[in-house]
Amino acid sequence: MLLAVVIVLLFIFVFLGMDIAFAVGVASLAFIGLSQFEARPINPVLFVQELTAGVDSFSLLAIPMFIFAGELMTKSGVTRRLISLASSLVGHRPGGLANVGITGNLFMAGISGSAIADTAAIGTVLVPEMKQRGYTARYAAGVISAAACVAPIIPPSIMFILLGSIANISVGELFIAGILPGFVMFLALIAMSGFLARRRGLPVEEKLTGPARRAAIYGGLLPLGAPILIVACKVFGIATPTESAAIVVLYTLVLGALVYRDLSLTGFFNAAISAAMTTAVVMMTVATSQIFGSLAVLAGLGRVLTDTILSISDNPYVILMLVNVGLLVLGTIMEPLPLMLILVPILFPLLGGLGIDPIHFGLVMVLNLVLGGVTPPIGLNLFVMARVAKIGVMDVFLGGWPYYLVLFGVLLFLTYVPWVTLVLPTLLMR
Amino acid sequence: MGKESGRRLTWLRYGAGLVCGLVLITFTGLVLYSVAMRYFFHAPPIWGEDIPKLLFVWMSFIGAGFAYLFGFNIRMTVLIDKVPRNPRRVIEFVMHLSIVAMLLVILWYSQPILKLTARNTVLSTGLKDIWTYLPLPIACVLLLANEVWRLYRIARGEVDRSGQEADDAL
Amino acid sequence: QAPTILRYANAGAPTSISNQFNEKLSAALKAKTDDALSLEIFAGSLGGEQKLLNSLALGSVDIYNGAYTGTREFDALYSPYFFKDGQQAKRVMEGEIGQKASAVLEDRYNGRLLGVGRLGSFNLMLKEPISSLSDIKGRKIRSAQIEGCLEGLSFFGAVPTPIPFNEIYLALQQGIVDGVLTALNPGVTSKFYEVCKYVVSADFGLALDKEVISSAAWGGLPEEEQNILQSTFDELEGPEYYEVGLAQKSKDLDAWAGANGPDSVIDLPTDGLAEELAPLNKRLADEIYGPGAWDMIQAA
Ligand code: NA
Ligand code: NA
Repeated sequence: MLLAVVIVLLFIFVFLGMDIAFAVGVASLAFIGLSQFEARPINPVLFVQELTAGVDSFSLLAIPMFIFAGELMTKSGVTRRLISLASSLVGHRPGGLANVGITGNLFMAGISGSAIADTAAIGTVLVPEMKQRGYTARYAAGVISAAACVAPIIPPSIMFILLGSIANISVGELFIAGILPGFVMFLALIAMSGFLARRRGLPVEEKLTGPARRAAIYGGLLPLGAPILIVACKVFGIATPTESAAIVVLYTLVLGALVYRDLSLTGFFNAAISAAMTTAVVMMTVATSQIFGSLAVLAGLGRVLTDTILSISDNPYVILMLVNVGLLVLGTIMEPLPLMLILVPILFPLLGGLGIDPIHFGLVMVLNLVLGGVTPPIGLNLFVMARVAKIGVMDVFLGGWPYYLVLFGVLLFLTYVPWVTLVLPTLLMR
Repeated sequence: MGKESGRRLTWLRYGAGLVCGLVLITFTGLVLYSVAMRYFFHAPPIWGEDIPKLLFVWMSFIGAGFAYLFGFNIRMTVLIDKVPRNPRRVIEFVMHLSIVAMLLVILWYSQPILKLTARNTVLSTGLKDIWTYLPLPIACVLLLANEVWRLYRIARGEVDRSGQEADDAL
Repeated sequence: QAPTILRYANAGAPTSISNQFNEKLSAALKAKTDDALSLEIFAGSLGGEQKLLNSLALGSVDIYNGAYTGTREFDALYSPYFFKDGQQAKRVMEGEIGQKASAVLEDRYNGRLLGVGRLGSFNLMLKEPISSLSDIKGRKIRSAQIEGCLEGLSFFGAVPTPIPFNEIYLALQQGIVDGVLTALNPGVTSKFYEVCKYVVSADFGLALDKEVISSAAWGGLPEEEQNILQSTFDELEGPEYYEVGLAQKSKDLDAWAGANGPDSVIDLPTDGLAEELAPLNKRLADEIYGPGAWDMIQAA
């Protein structure tokens, strides 16, 4: 009950223009304040403790480092070469650079395990370029924030690893299960990009011929080394996902400073400043959102949810729909990890008892949580993109909504057609 | 704002940013160092996870403190932009007051945490745990300064800038 | 009078031995006190161990259960063959050594040690097989930052490697580390056997969960309930923690063999390991608990 009051407060603060980090903070503090009148009050010290705990994570280090690498790429002309290469290959088709972004994210998805890392990596490189070529910042940020949602579905995926251990199901099977759905998402996004391009008359790159095309390809080969390097790190066991972000920074630095010699010392420091400040503002939001998760745990959100669901229906198809709707609503205001911790121990036994395959439901749940990253008011993916593109959070959302809609369509499709998820794990692992 | 003080602010902004940027460069370098030590020399430093993480916490909170002071933020201004000037000022004044209250709570309840963590040593770094918890109250002081400045401006008849204007000002 | 419901927190899954034990503890307390005292279990949902223990000290959690204490007094106990077996560990923790350790907790976190839960063994999980422990020399093994574990690995020449817990699975899969040293049960729960073929069945340390209640929560209980809480913990720890843990070990090894074949569970002769490690353990014990501590442990 108290939780509902606080959620309403949060929305009011956010829509009245309070900074989102503070809105979450003040709403949470109101919760703690009101709890003092209840039987078991919550100690306000928790509030302060969670702020630091939310940021104190090694995995989050990938965010500033990928943004740093992206800034370096932009400042040293690496981006330009990379885009020329990509657009010489697919840019002349309807959808132009948006296709380049979606495809780039698909490649990155096979390398990185998190949507935020991908948003930071691709967004920093591609958004400025798309702006320059006549796309609105809104549209550019929107399409890339949507495309980054493929990252946690295509293996490797940090979310699948967490889910595997919380729900006690195979991480390997989850990884395999994610491959086809990831491609379905990719194809759906490309289709939407083509549709929007024709409908809105978005710019298409000129199809290059002969020498120009070859020049673009040769020019892009070295920059293409960055993604190849991350793959190499993975294949040869050199670095963890977070560490590979640092390796990309080094590679970009070498390329910019020694190979192309376009990167000045000032440019280097400016890139670092920009990446640090961008990350800092986003982290403040991560910090306050952390509290919200713990408050929901302490308020027994999980129990309330199960009771509600079971009081409505016990038909598996209806329950799946209810769970989807519930997760989407909670996803608007909560981060994936706390949601997973609260709901997995309740939902998996519940749905398992109704005969739903845990791998199938695992995928549905993760996709759901990933989409929570692009729904306002609280969505880390939106925040990172807003900072990278230097536009408002709502702008990113408004630019990306057709793509998000497509992804919600895919979510429904995957919910009711388990075959797509289960065919590969069944063939390969069972 | 006078031209002179404007220039001073620009330098302060650059200086603060530079400190945070240097912290970023440092922990990126340390991550690279531990990868190299592990892969080539089979001798990964035991602090390889904890020191970069500690620097990251510092960069995040101190950076955020300065960033808000210089006008960065993540807000939705679609609705508030449509509210007439004076009611808007009242709403914004109340909201900034509630933020001030929150920051004071953070400062107050940081004390027991700092006292507790001053006793604990992190095995891998040999540093006291308090180093992880210190940046938050420092950031709070910066954020309080920012809030006081904003309240003063609103009291003088202005309204908060929308997100886009704030970014353009940078 | 309103019933007391203490907030209990642990970083692991609800199905873990530690949390199952505390479910039973709560049920037993409820029965014995006519519903006046029970626990609300927060399993894995309030953060990592370090944060939870801080929460206990600061007053937002009442009971903490976990491996982490951040104290040398407890961390040394994780060294392999520090104890001959669980029985001896219990006797030591009930004696002078246990009192010294719990005094440190009291001083540092303002908490009272209800007791230790003997969870089971720490085990080595490896990508490549070994025929004796000296074969782990030079291999990169991920370990928690616990002094006893690090010392034990270094003793055999292995290279302790820091990797965050949620990146271990990938680190094993990619071959960034050659193995992991962790409590067997969480290793199986986290599916490490999918990416790491072998497990060494010989114990490589004993996992002791610390069950700590905050002084404030303890002081808030009437003396009668304090006695019930303490005696119920003591009664249940043997059958519901220690013996469940022992039984779980063979189940977990079976699960490992089921996934990777019978040769994936490496049986090493354990005779002589205790003597081999005695100098290390004596040094740790005497350094941390004062001269003569090791002899006291041996006599227990
Ligand atoms: Na991925
Ligand atoms: Na959201």
